[in-house]
Amino acid sequence: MSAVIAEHEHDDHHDHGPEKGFLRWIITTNHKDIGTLYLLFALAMFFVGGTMALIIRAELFEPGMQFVSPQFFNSMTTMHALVMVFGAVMPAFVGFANWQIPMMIGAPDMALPRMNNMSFWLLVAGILMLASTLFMEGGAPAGGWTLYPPLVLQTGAALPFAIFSVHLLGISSIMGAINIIATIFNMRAPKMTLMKMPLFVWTWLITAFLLIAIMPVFAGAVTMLLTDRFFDTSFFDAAGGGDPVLYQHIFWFFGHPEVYVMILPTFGVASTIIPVFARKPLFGYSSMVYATAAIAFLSFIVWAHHMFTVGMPIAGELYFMYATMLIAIPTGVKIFNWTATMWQGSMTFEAPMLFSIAFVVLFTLGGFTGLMMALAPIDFQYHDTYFIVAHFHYTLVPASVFIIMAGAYFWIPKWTGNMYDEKLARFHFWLSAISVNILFFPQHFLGLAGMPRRIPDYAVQFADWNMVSSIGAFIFGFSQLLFVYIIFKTIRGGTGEEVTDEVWEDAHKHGLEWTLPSPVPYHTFSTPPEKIPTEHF
Amino acid sequence: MSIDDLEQRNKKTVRALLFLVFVMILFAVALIPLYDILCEITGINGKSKKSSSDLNYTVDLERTITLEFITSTGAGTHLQFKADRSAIKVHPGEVIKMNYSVTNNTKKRMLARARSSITPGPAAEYIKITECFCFENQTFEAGETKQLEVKMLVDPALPERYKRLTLGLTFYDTTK
Ligand code: HEM
Ligand SMILES: [Cu+2]
Repeated sequence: MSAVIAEHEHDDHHDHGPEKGFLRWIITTNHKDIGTLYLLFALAMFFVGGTMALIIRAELFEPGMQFVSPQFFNSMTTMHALVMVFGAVMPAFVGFANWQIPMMIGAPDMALPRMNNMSFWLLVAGILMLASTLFMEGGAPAGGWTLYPPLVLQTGAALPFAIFSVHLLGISSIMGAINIIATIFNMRAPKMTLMKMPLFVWTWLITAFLLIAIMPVFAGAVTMLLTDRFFDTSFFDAAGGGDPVLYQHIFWFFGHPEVYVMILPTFGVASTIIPVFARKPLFGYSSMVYATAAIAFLSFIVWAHHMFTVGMPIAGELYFMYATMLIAIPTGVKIFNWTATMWQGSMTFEAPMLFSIAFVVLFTLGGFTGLMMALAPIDFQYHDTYFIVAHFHYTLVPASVFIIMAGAYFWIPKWTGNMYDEKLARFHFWLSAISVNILFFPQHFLGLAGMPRRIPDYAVQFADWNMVSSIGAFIFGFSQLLFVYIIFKTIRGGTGEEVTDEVWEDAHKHGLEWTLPSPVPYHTFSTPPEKIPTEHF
Repeated sequence: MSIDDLEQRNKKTVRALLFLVFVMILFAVALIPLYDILCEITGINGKSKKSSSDLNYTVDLERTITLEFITSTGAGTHLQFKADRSAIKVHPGEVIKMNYSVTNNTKKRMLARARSSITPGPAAEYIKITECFCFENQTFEAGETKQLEVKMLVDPALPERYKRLTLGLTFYDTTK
């Protein structure tokens, strides 16, 4: 990142350096530039989505209607989810992939650099189109991020725009996925066999296949919504002999693997960070690879656990219940391996490690609530309550989002050649880790007591925990300004501390990227590396 | 590996992956008929079909089951729609008639279509509907009230565990 900015400022352009001026960021095909673009875009969207979340929590601070109309409230829950999923979490991991995959496998760039540029700008176009619906007649979509008919068909002028933005985002993701697979298959350094690839590369390879398999299905489902609304088809319209439950099946065939698109790269980054700070090789490398593949496979056969209450026959309920519970096995293998990696390691607790340890603990909690909801008869109580809101926020915020921040702290010294402020970063960690629990833990209680999700007002019996949750939300939200401050300070020179090539003690044993100079030059591995680190095996 | 080789390999990979994308699009479209076929084979979503009107069963006087009739209208369909009785006791095999009254509460002529659904879903195949206004579109003049009829039989092969069945009918405004 700052390699870039430094050159900007000192203008010490050399032969293969980046394009001068602003245009560079528009036409760049360099994987590091594109990675930076993705990460900065994700950061911006994190704040856009976060602002929406704070509007939601402000309204829910007290019972009764305070600040916004119910319609706008529902738009906020819908848009918050869409922006966070497609604008923040997914692009952040694509940003990491762009920066790290070529360096980790000893390749000079991504396989298809121009397509890489296009996927980024299509993402921006998609998100802008989605955001534009906020200003349309009838408001932004308000039927929930799952876009269930018939409710979503009541959206005003925004409906076709929301659907086209899904198409754009889908095309962007598919292009990104194709690029990642082509890079991993064709550009590895000669000695980098598949089973020697770092886990981050493995998890992204599998995630990319997931994306290619599910994005077309999602695009198909929303296209059918579009034709139902404008071209008199009745795919999901009971009046014409269609079936709205069919939409739910198609959506969740996409939707369940989609949540794994967000969590598998999370696993990959965690598996990269933990060994470095435990100063041990990753425990059970090959079981990690197989567990990832198993989770990806299982994710295609469990979708109806989101639909236990639609009136499935008992055999269906049982099948989806047992299949869902199976996922806990490979997931448990991973948690075991991370713990075993730390076991008897010489651990130090720099910010990336702190975030990773919090991830292991809090993700496990999210996994447990997932298991509770996997029990069909019990899910009848939990479904569509705040309990499920607590579940997926535990698997997404202190898991995916924490790991994104861990990754940012972990790699930014390599990218910029500057050290971040460790003290501030630890402060950022403790603020986030405590407030995220104040924010989401009480939502378990609310859900168990029966508070439904996606409502702007609630019975007074839920008042206390909602207030606690909202307070946590505001602390968490504002703590992230500290993150932005630390990151930008690092880009602009950091603490001035010397950053070695390996950055972290003995990191060169853990991955090729740590054998490169800090900051990394604009072009790396123009010739493939001779040796690859073998610490993992 | 030379640059040209690499380009060739990348092209091959891209082509294979685009093919996969194409397959998944087809799969998404195929899910629609697949879903209907699956529902038909397993009878799980309670859809009922028109049965031939010359069905003849021996009435099983030993057994009595409760048939419930529920009615509803789709969003924005301004019809008043009621069954004459909310539940009746019947013997499997006997011919059952139920009258419904429908009033068009709007000031316009309305074209509407009713859709049926039987609960529990797996019992749907044992309910033989021989005549129903839900088999075709109905027209209602402004303010008009119509009496409509459903004729059906319960197949005596209905498994013992079913004691109470519900026929739901929902009217949807289909005026263009
Ligand atoms: C052991 C692993 C997991 C199990 C057994 C599990 C199970 C479930 C179940 C049964 C539901 C449906 C609850 C309901 O609607 O009543 C659900 C919802 C959800 N889960 Fe998980 N889950 C697991 C892991 C994850 C992970 C890793 C993520 C994301 C990173 C995730 C994200 C979500 C989301 C977003 C929803 C809510 C979707 C919605 O209705 O809007 N889950 N989970
Ligand atoms: Cu799921």
